[in-house]
Amino acid sequence: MTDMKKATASAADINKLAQIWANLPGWGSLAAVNHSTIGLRFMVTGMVFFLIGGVLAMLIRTQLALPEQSIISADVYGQLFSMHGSVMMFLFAIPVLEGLAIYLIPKMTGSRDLLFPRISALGYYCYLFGGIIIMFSLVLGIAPASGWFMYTPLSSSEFSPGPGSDFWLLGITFVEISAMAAGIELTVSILCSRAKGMTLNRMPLFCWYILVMALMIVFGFPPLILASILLELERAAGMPFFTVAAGGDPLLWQHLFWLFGHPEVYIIFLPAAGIVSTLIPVFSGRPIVGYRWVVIGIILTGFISFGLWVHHMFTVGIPQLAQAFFSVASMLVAVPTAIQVFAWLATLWYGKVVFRLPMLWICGFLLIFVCGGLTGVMLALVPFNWQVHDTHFVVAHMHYVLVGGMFFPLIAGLYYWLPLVSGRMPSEKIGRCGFWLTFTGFNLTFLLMHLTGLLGMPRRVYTYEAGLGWDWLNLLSSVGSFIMAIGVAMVLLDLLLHFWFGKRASANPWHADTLEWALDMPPAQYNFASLPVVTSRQPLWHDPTLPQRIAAGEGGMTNTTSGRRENWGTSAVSARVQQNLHLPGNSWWPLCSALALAAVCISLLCRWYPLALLAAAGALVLLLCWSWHNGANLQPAASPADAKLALPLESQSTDGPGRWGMVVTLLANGALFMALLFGWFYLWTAAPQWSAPADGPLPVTLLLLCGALASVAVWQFNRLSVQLADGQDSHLHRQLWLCVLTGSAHFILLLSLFMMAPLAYTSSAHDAVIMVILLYLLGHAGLAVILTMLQALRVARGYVSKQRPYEPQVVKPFWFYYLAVYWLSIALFFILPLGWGPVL
Amino acid sequence: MSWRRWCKPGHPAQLVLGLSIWGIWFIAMYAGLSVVCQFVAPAPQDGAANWLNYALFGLTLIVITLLLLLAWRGWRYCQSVQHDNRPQRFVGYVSTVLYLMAALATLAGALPVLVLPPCI
Repeated sequence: MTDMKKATASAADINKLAQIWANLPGWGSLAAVNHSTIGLRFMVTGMVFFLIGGVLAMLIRTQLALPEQSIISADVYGQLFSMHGSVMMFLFAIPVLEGLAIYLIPKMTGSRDLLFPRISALGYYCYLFGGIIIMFSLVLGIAPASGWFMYTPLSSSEFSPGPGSDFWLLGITFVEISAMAAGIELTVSILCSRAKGMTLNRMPLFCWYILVMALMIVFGFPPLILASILLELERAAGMPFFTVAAGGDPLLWQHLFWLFGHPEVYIIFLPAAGIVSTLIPVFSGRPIVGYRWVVIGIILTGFISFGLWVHHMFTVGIPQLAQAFFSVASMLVAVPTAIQVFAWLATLWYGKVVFRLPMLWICGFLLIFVCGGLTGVMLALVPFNWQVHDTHFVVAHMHYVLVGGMFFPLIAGLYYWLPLVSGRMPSEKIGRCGFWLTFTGFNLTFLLMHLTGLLGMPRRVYTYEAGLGWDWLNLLSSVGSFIMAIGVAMVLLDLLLHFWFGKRASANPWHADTLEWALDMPPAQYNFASLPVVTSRQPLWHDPTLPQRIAAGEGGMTNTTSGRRENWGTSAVSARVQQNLHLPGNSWWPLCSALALAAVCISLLCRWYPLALLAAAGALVLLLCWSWHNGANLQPAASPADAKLALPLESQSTDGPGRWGMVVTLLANGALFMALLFGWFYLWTAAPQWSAPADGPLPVTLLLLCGALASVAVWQFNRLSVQLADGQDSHLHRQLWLCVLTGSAHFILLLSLFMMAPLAYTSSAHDAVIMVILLYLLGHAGLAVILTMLQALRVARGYVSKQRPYEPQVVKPFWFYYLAVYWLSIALFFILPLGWGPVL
Repeated sequence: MSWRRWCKPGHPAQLVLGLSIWGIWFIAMYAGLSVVCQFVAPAPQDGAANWLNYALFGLTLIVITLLLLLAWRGWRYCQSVQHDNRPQRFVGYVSTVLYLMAALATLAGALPVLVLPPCI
């Protein structure tokens, strides 16, 4: 605390802080962006979708309880299981964990908010509207019925002619905007705004888990976004990416889906494991055994989980060697998971375990998840996989992993952090009752389902004949599912009732070690009255007086004279304070932008394409206006509290969270581009009737000329941003307009090439892919020009200058990214195929 | 942005470098296998002893050597950092183990090329 300004947080300061960070009253709360509000909204909405998904599951089990029942027709059954899977995976599991992370991360890392709070709000609204759109299909009885993985050709227009698949493709893509927003925001926030002194090796394990999960979202979701776009283009515009006769391949969908789908399992598991790694040390009364090894396990899981996707496709006809290759990778992922399990067991072994309610759920998790992991290793073995493929064994395994690996830790976490949110304790009696009913019901349902699968019952059948040996197993599974439902209902009732009847919680009721327990219960919107300084991995165990010292204003950023939402920006590894960050406050831009995006989604569903175009243009304008108002303020207020630290504002520096956000966004964008590249090469090498013309669709010389123009534009932009960083802005305005001119010339030439390209995009997969890549390049080129134009306008208005050189440094990576993908695309989509010769 | 800084053993980029190399190897193996099998597949009667499997295993050995060298460099760096609680030492230690794990994962993943024919 040598360089920290000591002060006393007076009542006036606290009132001012509360005023600065408050949500708007009444309808104004829709403009709220604070992480606590948004995180709780995510979780509550996720729980509502969980209830809907649970009701669908009950209907499924009712239908399967006895053989040859006709309570539900085959078509409705198809809709039910498809929606059950989709709702649970996309609308419950991921959003609720994101919500938990959004709520907790700033509190755990000693911050006042996430770094892009308006992006969080946009993500929430996209999730809400996307979820409502998807659920609407169920209400109308036209829900998707091709399974939650939407395999082609079943989901293609030929076999699913109704709008069900469109609801899924557009709705899920809409919801994925939310996941991407959370992924980017959490990554940057964890790396750039931790408490002073919270070095990487002192970071709570939960933050490590969320960091890796967030990065997995960044890399894992784009393949599905691409796949959804391609399938929707096939359904709506007839572009045959997955149609064999036109040179496409339905297996491409499976590859793209599982490139997302398998990491998705770990995206769900990792935050839940983060809860386990947080709770076990607390209830064992000692630090976790093998902190470094757990971090190693987390990073390993994050990487290896991307190398297993083909084990979902062992039966589609893949060479033996490739199968063995993925089989080994599938078994390897058990290693990092085992590292974590052994660390948890060792911590329990060496600690003095207190079996409070959250620990009960953790014990349930350990038992169920380890069993699920073991059946996972069984499924990694190719011959066994062939035997049980598409049977109830796989359904049972999946539920052991997902319910055991996510739901049980989630409930443990909800019970654990409940006093923080409400200031009250849950009921131990109702909670224990709920646990035992859920645990018993779950195992009755799914343990027996392994056997049903081994006896050969296929999944996704709406009924079965009597006398096949499946009758009693299905009946018991259905009974178990209802017991589980009663258990879950008790838990939810307990969570609800405790807000009124729960005992008042004492300060830090579980004797936890992490910073969120240094806050008031419930916490103020600004979290910390003064920002804490961390000197240990277990700050509250190391210094039990820390909460009082924070409240007394002995930390940083106690001054409120700026009237802004302020936070420290810290370095990624050493957590040194580097910047004073002014965070954006309440805003209607996120809601308005999400509404415009919802209008795009609904217009596309209804095939009102002119309206969709109009809504897309509206959304773009709104987002650009938002970016304009979110930029540097002309007159940043002084912040005397940190004047001694000489902290620059983000806008006065050349690096900061905004730039990190741009880079992480481009990583996600790059993952989408790589997925498209994968699709291109996959179709080339594997599509049975792939055909490509002898000559490329566009003249290479003009493409090279176009690339030269893009290179000049990037050179111009790079030069001006380097000069600006060096404190020179004499010709900045003119240089930016010159760059706009060159970029526009590039864009116009590329557009002309696109218009003149003789692409038969409805009869050739080759031409359809070329069309997509050209549209991708055009979109990026156009956006780069618009962003540069905005920068020029901002220079004219004084928002960007040598005193405020930040914004061009944020735009620069976008130009470099565009240039890289342009040249890669030209090389791989237009020049390389010339060497293939005609493929017919 | 200085790329030299990124290459130093205590830099956090090292936490992901080893497994990124593993990832590139993984893609090269899978993509290489697919492309070669499509256009110049070795004769099935050769079994596992064919030029493609040799090439894939050769690539594997090169990658493993690189990863082990990086692990050795990371280990030496850990020894040189004085204070036990320095974040750089933590990064060095974790990345060293991750290099070793990546090398093991590479070896395990490549073992099938020793026993299985490639394109059947």
